[in-house]
Amino acid sequence: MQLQSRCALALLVFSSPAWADCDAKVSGHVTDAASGDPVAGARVEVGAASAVSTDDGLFVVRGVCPGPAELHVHHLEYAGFSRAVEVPADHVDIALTVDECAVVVEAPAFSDRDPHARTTVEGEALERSRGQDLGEVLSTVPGVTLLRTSGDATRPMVRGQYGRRLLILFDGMRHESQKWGADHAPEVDPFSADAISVVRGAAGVRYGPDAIGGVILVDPPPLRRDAGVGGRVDVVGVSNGGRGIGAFRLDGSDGHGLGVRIEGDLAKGSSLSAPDYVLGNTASQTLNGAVTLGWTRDGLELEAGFRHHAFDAGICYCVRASSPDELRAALEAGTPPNAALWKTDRTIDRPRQEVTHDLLYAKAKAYVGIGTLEATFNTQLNHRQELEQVRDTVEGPQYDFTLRTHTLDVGLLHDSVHLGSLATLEGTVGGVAQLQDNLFEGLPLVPNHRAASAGAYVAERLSLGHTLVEAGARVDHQHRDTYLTDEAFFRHVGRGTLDADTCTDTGVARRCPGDWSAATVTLGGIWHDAQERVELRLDLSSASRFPNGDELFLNGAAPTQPVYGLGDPGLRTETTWGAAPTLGVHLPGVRGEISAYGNWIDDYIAFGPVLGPDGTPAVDVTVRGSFPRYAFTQTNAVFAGLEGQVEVEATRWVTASLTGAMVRAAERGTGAYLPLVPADRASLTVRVNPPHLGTFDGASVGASVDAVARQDRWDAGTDLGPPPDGYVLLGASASLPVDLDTEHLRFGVEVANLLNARVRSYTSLLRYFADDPGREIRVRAGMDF
Amino acid sequence: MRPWIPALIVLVACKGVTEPPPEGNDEEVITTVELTIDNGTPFVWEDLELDGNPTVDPVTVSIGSHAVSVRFLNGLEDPPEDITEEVEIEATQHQVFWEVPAGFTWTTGDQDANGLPLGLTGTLEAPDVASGDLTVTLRHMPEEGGEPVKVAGLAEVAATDGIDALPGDTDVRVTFAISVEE
Repeated sequence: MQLQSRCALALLVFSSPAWADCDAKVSGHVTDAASGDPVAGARVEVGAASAVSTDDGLFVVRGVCPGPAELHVHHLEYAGFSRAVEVPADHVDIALTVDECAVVVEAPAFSDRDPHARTTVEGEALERSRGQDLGEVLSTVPGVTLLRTSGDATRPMVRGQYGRRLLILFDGMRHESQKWGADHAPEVDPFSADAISVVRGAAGVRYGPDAIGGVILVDPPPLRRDAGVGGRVDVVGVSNGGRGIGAFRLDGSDGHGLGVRIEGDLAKGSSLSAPDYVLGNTASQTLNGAVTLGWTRDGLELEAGFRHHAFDAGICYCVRASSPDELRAALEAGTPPNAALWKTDRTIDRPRQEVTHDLLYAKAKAYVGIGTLEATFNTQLNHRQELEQVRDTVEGPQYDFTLRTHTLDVGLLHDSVHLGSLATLEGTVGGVAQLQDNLFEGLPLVPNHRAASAGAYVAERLSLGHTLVEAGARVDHQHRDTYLTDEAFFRHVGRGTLDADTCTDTGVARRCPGDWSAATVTLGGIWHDAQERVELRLDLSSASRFPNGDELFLNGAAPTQPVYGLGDPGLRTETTWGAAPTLGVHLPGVRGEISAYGNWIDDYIAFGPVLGPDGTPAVDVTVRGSFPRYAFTQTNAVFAGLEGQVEVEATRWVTASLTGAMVRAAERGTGAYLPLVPADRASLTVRVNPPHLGTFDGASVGASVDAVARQDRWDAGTDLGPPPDGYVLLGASASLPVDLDTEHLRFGVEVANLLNARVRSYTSLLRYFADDPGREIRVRAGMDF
Repeated sequence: MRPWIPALIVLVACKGVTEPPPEGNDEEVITTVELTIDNGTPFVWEDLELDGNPTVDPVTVSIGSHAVSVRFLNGLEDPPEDITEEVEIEATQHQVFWEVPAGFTWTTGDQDANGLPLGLTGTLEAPDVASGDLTVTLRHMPEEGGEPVKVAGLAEVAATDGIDALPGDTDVRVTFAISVEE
């Protein structure tokens, strides 16, 4: 290692005189010749210098000697491309054609030069999921489990982590929502995405706090650049819940750098049905709308946008959690007591949630002499109202949460540094500043707070032929002022969870400051053989998260759980240390990826029962009865597991895909199991893609079997009832694209739970009360124009 | 970067965060349960701090038959808001269930518009010197999908299968220690 770096340094010194003369650049744009879409990750070489195209297909090769030169472009999935250029040259347009010999199949795709295990849902796979929410779209990704809420919404779980321990980035911006509630689904519109990637494992350096279990990247397609107008329209009908969904996207450009996008969708559904009964009051309505404006000229890219999301959904009448005894009684009853009364109904009754999320942002990207500087400022307003069943005189919500977040993100992707002809160094350095206000109204639960955070990071990648090494570090700090009522203040002081001297009396409130810091590191590598048939990746990363407002100060009946919950203002930063090797195989007819991981979480914040002085569970007596007292405490935990996917081309037109995942989680020291860890699962899908169909090229039919085991690793101390049995579900699907001269039409039908089997999944909040929704037939039609 | 500076100033100036969460959202808090026996001074169960640590008056009665009524109050309002009135208005969606110690008997004394028991008043028979727990449960049973869920025979369901087998949601479930004095 020592020797290698000396060599690199020597080469750098010897080659530098030549660079002095060769300071010209060649820039341009790489696109797919067939679709016109930008091509990322293409290697563009001019003489000894090279660059890799960005997500937008842009490239700038620097340090090129002026004069005539040969330009070569390489990409795994495209045929090689060469042409002559006169250096310096700008606006070099390169259109690549797909390499017919390359086996191009869907996920798992090889790493986007990321040592993490990573899967992207895009293209046909994303088309097949149209009409589903984010959790459902990602549920086919190995290592991702669907967490069902008590209404018509789902959340994604990655390697057993969700909510606070999962980071969602929309178009590169942190999605700031109230992730803490078990019933709070992410306010992200899958119709807006062109690709949704799941980065599995701790990824704190690249993405910042909360990336404990992983990161979900929701990426919209780039704005249109060619003059004209285009877009897409989608219509989806779903049998279960009689749901209708309509979506459109309109893209326009003047061909001189100005791009505009207007998009929106509306989904409306009535109550869902389990096989034997209607899940009363699970109707919902979702509305999304967005406007995006972009302008590109002379290497400067500007973009601004506004997005609005509104979600209104009932909470199943079946959720009966007035007390732990009632919850157990519901579990034993099997069928909800009033199920016979419930009808398929579009009315959204109490209890219900009304959620809106607004995002306003501005981005600027420019070349600044040493690299590409990108700055983003965004403001997000997340508003959540919970309306309980109340007497008629009460009209408004019982809980009202507002989260306002302002984030400034600045990053510099520095120019590739060529360490001789063998090695290239690329990297990013950046900083983030954020201000977040939490405003609460309603029954005593969480206090108001204002948090200011800042972070700085550096990550560098060294490419050495078939090997890539990545290393990075990041520091984050958060200062948070919490504003307590006198009652809440004295309660914490009385319990010994708050030192009275740390808070000041402002006259209207007790201001309690707190500071949290985190340092995260990453070290990873990718190696592949010369034929790119085997790829090995190793990721050693850490990630941190600061305690949430509810974890620090919750005081009251916990939402969606029949317990009395208490926060602890003294909680420290939670940090995970992860190690994850991934093996990728890319042989003719066989393609697969398998990842193993171990995550050691220090100061893991857990919500569990409090024991009284005599060792028996502590109980709080409220006007609604006696509740077990639960509190947030810190322990050490370990999450370990395995996940993978293998795709086999049985014949030229039949492919079989096997996916599986297992997670093991326990408290370190005691070995006690942690709640809500997904059970082992496996899924087999067979697809038939008849080739050479002309206008209908790409048509396919498929069948799937999903098997989920019973979660036998559970702890009666933290889980209020035993896990449900394992199950097997069958599914079927068919896709029919129709390529006309000017339009591209898409038709499809997907059937989930084909046999209408009665099942309950362990990772569903409904599982104590009712069965999962039954058979679902989803019919979709779309048009690109 | 300059256009963002006014935005930052605006957000810093936003009101609300630097105060504790306001009271008086459209919430429905019951802090106090008053038990009146034979028009005497009420016995009170009260948790004004909502901290799971109530003060509860011990209830004492003499042997024999007593007229009992219950009131539910929001003591956070000034003057305290009487939630009982709302229960009476929506009597067809409410019922008070009484669990008495062995030997005692409870007879509900009032009905809703559908002729079903309401339970805000009744008669308590204390047969002999005894003591135990008296638990009062106010169950709110709003219609589900437009269908009533408060039906006949719920007191029997509660007696045999427990409160948890009832439809609806528990608004109040408090326990008084009751003793009979000669």
